[in-house]
Amino acid sequence: MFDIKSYYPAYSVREALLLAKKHEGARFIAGGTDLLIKLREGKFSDALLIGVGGIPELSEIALDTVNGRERVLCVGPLCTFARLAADPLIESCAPMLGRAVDQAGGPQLRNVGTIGGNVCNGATSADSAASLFALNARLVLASLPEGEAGREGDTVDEEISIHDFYRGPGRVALKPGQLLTEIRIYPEDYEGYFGHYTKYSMRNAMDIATLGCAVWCRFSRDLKLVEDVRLAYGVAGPVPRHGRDLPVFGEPGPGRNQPPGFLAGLPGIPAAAGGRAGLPGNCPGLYSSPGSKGKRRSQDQAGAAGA
Amino acid sequence: MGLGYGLSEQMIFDDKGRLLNGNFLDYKLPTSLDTPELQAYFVETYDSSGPFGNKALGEPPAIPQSAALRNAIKNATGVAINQLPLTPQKLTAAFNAAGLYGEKTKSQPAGGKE
Repeated sequence: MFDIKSYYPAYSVREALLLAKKHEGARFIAGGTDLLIKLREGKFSDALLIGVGGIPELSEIALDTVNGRERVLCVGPLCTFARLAADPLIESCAPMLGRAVDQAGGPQLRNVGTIGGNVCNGATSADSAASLFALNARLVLASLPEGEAGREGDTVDEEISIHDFYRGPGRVALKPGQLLTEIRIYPEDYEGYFGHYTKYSMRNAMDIATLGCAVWCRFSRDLKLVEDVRLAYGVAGPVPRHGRDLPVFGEPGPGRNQPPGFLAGLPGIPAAAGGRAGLPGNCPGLYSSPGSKGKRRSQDQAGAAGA
Repeated sequence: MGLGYGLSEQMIFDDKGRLLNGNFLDYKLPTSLDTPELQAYFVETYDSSGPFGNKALGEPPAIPQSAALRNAIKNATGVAINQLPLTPQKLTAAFNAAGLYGEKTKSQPAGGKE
């Protein structure tokens, strides 16, 4: 049923990379929820698989200090969707991500499928992708040092933005012999933010998104100005897209000069702002259009200049 | 069963007659999350064509739901759609043709995305 030639389990990142070097054309397999389906469909044959599922350091979720930066949310690529959805750290830093992956497939898939596999599979419909784009996630890709001079445990890390990672349908910027070892979300991309992921699909479970949209925004301290809004879409193109990379259709709407008001039309936002997402619960006027004075004016001018 | 028939289940063929969605990912059976709480009521009658006046309880109960859905949509919007399943794509196209979105959009892209 599965055309597998060999399977080599790896128990450390270096071991996995050495196995990949030794067996050319081998693929890494974690949860296998994409790879085994492709194998069964006959997309490729005589598969050489390197099992990375048993590498303990790849399944951690922690706030770490990275390159001198504190409070970087580091997510191990082996974390299953079910784990992410239930993790308190994800819930406090990036609840949108946990809820997004909680909508993938069914319970069986979420207990096995990993976020790293989801990203490396390169599907535009990945439920984690839109959220990770909105979160400006950065991916750490490990490889062996040049010339095989490295000591035991030595690997070379490269950190790239998820915006540069997706290259086309099913194609990602993962070179042969590279393994995704960490997904990093820096504090400036999650602190003070809240958001929501909407999955539009033909049914409510066991389905692939027809369109996925992640909204991630930050308000000013007085809650009168939207300081940053990020929209990211899955399935809107061959790769997931950040809203700033998408063409704008139509005339700028009334939202242009009514900063907080335009959010009122987005489903799910008020509920998230009210309680769960870490925003002060009582924010009267946040979702009605009459805004503050000072900031409104500058926005009006910006709108007029743009018109 | 009746809900899937009315809303999402559909075998799609290409122009050579090959089935394009021969799996349970692309052939959309409703899941438990898609099914609202249902209540069934029995209307007892005497059916002269059945033994002892019996009426069948196999397929017949799966038929009227799609008609009820179609009529509910007509009642809510005034748009009558006489084709199953009532997918978002089909509804969007029909609503657009009926001018429910305001002025008719000339080139409405296929698909139910708005």
